[in-house]
Amino acid sequence: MSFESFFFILENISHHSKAPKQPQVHLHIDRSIRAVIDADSPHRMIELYSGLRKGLKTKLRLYDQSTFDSCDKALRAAAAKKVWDGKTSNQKAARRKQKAEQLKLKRSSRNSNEVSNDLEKDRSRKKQKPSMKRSISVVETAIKNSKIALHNTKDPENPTKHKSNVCIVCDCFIFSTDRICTITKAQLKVHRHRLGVHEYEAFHGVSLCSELVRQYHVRGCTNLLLSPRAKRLRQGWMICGSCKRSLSHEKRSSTKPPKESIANGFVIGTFPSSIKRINPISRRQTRQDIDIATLPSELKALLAPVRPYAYLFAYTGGSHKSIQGHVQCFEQSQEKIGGVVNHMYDMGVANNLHVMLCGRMTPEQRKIIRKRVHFDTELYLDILNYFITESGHQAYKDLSLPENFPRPTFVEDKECANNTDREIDRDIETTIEGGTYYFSSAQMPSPDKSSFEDTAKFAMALFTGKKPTLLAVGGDYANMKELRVEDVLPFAFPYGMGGPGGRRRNPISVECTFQRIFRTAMPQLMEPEPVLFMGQMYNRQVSYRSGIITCRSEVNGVSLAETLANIPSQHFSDPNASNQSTELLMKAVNTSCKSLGYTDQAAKSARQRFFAMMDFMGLNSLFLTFSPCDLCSFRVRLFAHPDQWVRHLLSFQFFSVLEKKIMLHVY
Amino acid sequence: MFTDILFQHSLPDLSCTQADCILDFNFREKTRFNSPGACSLEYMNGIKIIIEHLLNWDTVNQKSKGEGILGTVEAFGPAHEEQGRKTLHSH
Repeated sequence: MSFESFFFILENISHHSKAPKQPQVHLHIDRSIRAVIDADSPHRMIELYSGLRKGLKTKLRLYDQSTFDSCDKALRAAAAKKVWDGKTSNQKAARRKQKAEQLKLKRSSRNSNEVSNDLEKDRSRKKQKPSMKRSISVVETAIKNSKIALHNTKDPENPTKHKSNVCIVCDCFIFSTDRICTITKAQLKVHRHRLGVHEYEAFHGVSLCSELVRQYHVRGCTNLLLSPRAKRLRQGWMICGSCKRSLSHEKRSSTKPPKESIANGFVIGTFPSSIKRINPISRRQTRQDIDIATLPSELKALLAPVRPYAYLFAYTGGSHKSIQGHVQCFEQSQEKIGGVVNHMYDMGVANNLHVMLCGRMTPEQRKIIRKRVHFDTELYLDILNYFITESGHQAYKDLSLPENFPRPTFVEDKECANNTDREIDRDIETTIEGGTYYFSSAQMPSPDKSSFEDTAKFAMALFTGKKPTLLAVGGDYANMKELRVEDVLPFAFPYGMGGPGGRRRNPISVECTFQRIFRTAMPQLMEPEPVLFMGQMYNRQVSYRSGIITCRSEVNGVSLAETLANIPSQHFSDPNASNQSTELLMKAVNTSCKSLGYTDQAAKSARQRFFAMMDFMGLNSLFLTFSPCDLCSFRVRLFAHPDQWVRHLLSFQFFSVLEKKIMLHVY
Repeated sequence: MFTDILFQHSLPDLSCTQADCILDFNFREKTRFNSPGACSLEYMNGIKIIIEHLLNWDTVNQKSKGEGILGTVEAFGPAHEEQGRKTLHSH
């Protein structure tokens, strides 16, 4: 059989479409036939034809088996000649056209994110027979890439040393999967007008103290707000992809700093390592070394100028148990406390800081806890003096040093046989494991009313665009909106600036601000208290942003559109003024918002999504659990102390265990 | 310079003594309790590596980049949890 007759048969089959029962299947077969005809080599033609045989039989039964067999034979004969004398040039052109069309289709599907196309492609890929050799190489490549990503914190000159990757412009961690770029000193200086200290001061109307400017100084870049925690490579300083794009040569004329840069209102600073000390008797000034990591949380709470929450520190212990504790924060009104403080003095409970000793404890544990909360009066006054005179923190402005030192009130039972344990393992029992911080559940944003008191108030806030306060619920307490995070967490923001609020040269949303602060390479922002407080604020914002109002189509027989049309805009602008129309509307609406990540509602929502995915994609074929052990991973230290190199030291043989213990204690 | 080296952190060593090992563990425990933010960042870093390199998933376009260690991933749903020990993990 000649090729002409073969093509004729195929063409005939292709155009034979007498009332097909399954048009889609027939269309597919027609396309396959066309592909066989347009194939540019007999080998390719045989390959396509073998896949087509079944389809041809399905399409029509005009030709008997011998026809197909003779077609097959002709093709094989042509293939054996290894010379293709068919319509080569035309077929090659057709092939090229087909490829171009496929590429075009692929691009368009990528642009439009057509899920169905992707799924089809994935399924067709899945149908291919897996090659064992390729699978192994894929696994090896994936593991190799993961290791490269994981170890990109390594010092290229000394592989035993690691240090976290920090961006020089935004002072944020660069994660292992993010693109790491470099920038030179000269390139940074081109953007002096965007990253400079003077420009920052001029816009924010503040004067940065010399200590703070020094903390953001990088050698060779005077008066620029840069992170000294960034690593220096051979090509230049390390910078994240986002900042690099923003500091490109094309944008040199822009006056706005990169969104997440330090110069865009994120000058936070760290508490200095030494502060001024005044001798109370001789009034002589000296410098005192101080490490805020070793200060107890109770002292930090006492030093905060604003405490929107009452603190309750509770400690538990016992034989074979280390000292554990939890800190509960309750919403309180400072004004109310101020009002009744005189009465409290008379009653003998003149403090709003209480320390509870709960349950059974060993005598040594009692001593440790008492010692922990018996603060050094001079240290308290020195730190307070620093905040008032040196830091320039706004909340401490015009504050005078107190004459009396505030002491926490102990809440404990008398020591007796029922609440005292015998000391058995001293090492374990005298270890303080630290505290767990809790907010009362009443303040948590809920999925139906967010962080507002009820559904109506949430709906009204959504109508009027009134955002919730950053910290407390507010309730009847006054002016919670004016509360600044910097005042609540003075050790996290020691200079009273860099918090989520305020103006910025390059405006960003409050949520993005929190996300940026959580990624900031500063040890004080990794501590439990800032994480809890700012996490709470972030949740309140996210909860509000995801709010949805649903409403009945008719309210008391009147359509929704008509009801809304009859409500004047003034009724929404003043939510406190009660009026019949808005009250009626509020009764007909329901609100909902995103549930918080750690709540039961979030678990329910995640389950729903998972079942939806199963419904759409089918049952999952693999179940993978990822559980890193923080206690065994040295990598946590890279994030906890971004300014230090992590290196192998303690196994040095010439140090005894006691010496190492002393070293760790000092550290 | 010497004091600077003294107060650096240490990497775990397989040949270290038991006392060293316990000491190292205590130190890491202290770091972990004092810096929960660092733990969550390290967890996030690990999750990103797993998703982008091991599963070969494009997080920007939300689709597979090709074959990963589990083959070509069509879809996945991580549930991030923390339990009694307050350590983050995901299924």
